[in-house]
Amino acid sequence: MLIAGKVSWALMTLGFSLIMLAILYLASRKIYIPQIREHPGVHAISEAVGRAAEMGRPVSFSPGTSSLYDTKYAGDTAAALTLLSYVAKEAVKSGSKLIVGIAPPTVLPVAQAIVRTAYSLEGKAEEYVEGDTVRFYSPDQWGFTSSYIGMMHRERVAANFLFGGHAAEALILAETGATVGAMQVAGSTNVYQLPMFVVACDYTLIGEDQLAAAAYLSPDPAQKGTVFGQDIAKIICVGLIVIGALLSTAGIKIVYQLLAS
Amino acid sequence: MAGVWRRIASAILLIASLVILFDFALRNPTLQSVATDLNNWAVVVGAFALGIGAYSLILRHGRMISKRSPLWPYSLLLLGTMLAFIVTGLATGSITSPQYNWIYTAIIMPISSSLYGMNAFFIASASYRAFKAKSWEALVLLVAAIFLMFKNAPIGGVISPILPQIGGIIWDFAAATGMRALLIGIGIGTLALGLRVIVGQEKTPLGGAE
Repeated sequence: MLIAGKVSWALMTLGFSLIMLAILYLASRKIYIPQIREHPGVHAISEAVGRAAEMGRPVSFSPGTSSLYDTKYAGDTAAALTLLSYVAKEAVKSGSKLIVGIAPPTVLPVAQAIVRTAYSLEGKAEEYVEGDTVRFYSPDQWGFTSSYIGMMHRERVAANFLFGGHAAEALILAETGATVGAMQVAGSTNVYQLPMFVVACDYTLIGEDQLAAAAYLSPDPAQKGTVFGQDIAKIICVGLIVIGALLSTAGIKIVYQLLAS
Repeated sequence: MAGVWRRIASAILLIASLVILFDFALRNPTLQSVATDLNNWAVVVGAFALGIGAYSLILRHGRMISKRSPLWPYSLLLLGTMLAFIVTGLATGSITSPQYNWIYTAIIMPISSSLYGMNAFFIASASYRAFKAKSWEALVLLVAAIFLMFKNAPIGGVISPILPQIGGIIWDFAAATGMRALLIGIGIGTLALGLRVIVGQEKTPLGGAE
C-alpha cells in the first residue's frame, strides 16, 4: 500500500528513471547520441593538473566530509569519487604527486581502491604509497580541516580539488588554497556552501554539474544519455511549475493536489 | 576477477537501493524491517572502516617517526593522543565517563570552536576579493550584498526603513527562487547518478577506476 503524500513522489521518480534509462539505452545502442555543451569547470580539471606538473608541485583532492551513506550528500561523495578517478589518472599521466585527504572512514577504502587502480592502469603502481597518497586525516570535521589546510601549506599544492559534501569548513579549505596560490576547482550541491566556493575558487561546478561531471568527462556516449535525460526531467518540472502557478492563480488547485497526493 | 566482483557489488547495490526506495513509498512491515537491517549494517560497516582509518593513520605517522621526517614530533603527539583516548576509554569502560568527557570538552571542543571561529576572518578576506567590482556580475553581487547586510544589521533600519525591505525582497524572491531551482536540478542529478551507478555505467563509486 502506498503511503499518503508519497504517491506523486513514487510516480515521478519512476517516470524520470524510465526517461533516463530510455535515453541511456538509445545512446548506448548509438541510435541517438546527445550533444552536450562543453563545461569550462570540468575542462579546468585537466588544466589544473597540467599546471601543477609544470610547477613541479603536488595536486590535492578532497572528496568531502560526508560518508557514502550520508542521507543528504551521499550523491556528492559518489560524484567526488568518480572525479577522483579522473584526477588520479591525469596526475599519474602528467607525473604530478597526488595527495588525497579523507575524512569519513567509509570513503577511505573506496578512495584507496580507486587511486591504486588508476596508478596500476597507467603502469605506475610503484608510485602509489600506502597511507601517503590517500591519507586518512580525521572523521571529525575540524580535525580534518586543520590537517588538510596544514598539508596545503606544507606541500605548497599547485592544484586543489574540493568535491563531495563540504559544510562549514568549505571556505577555510578554499581560502587556504587561494592563499598558497593553487588553481582550484570545486563542486557542491550544498546551496549554503556554493557561494563560498564561487568566491574563493577559480571554477565551481554548481549543483548538478558536479553530479554529471563524470558523464561529461567520459568518452562513453551512454553516460551523456543520462545527462540529456536529466534535462528532459527538468523541462517537465519547469512545465509543471509554470502550469501549476497559472492554474493556482486562476483558483484551480489540480496540479498542487496531484503533487501533494 | 575484478569484473565479477564489480558485478556482484552492482547487484547488491541494485537490490539494496530498491528495498530502501520502496520502503520510502510503501507501507509494508517486512520491507520496513529489511530496510532497517540494511541501515544498521551500514553503521556496522562504518565502524569497521574506522579501524581501517586508524590503521592507515598509524602506518603513515609511524613511518614518519621512524624516518625522523620533518615535523615528526607532531606525529608522535598525534599517536600519543590517540593512545590516551583509547586507554582512557578502556580504563573507565565508557566514552561518557567524566575523564573521557574532560579530554573532549577541555581540549577538542575549544580547538574545534576556534577553527570554526576562523571562518569570520576567511569570510572577510573572501568578501574583499569577491566584492571588488571588476565586472558587472561582481557589481550586482556587491549591491545585493550591501542590501542584505542592511537587512541583517540593525544599522540598515536606522538609516532608512526601506533598506531592510529591499534586502528582504532580494532574499525572499531572488535568492529563494534561485536556491529552489538549484535544488530541483540537484534532486534530478542525484537520481541520474544513482541510476548510472545501479546500471553499471558508473563504476568508480564501487571502488574501481574504469
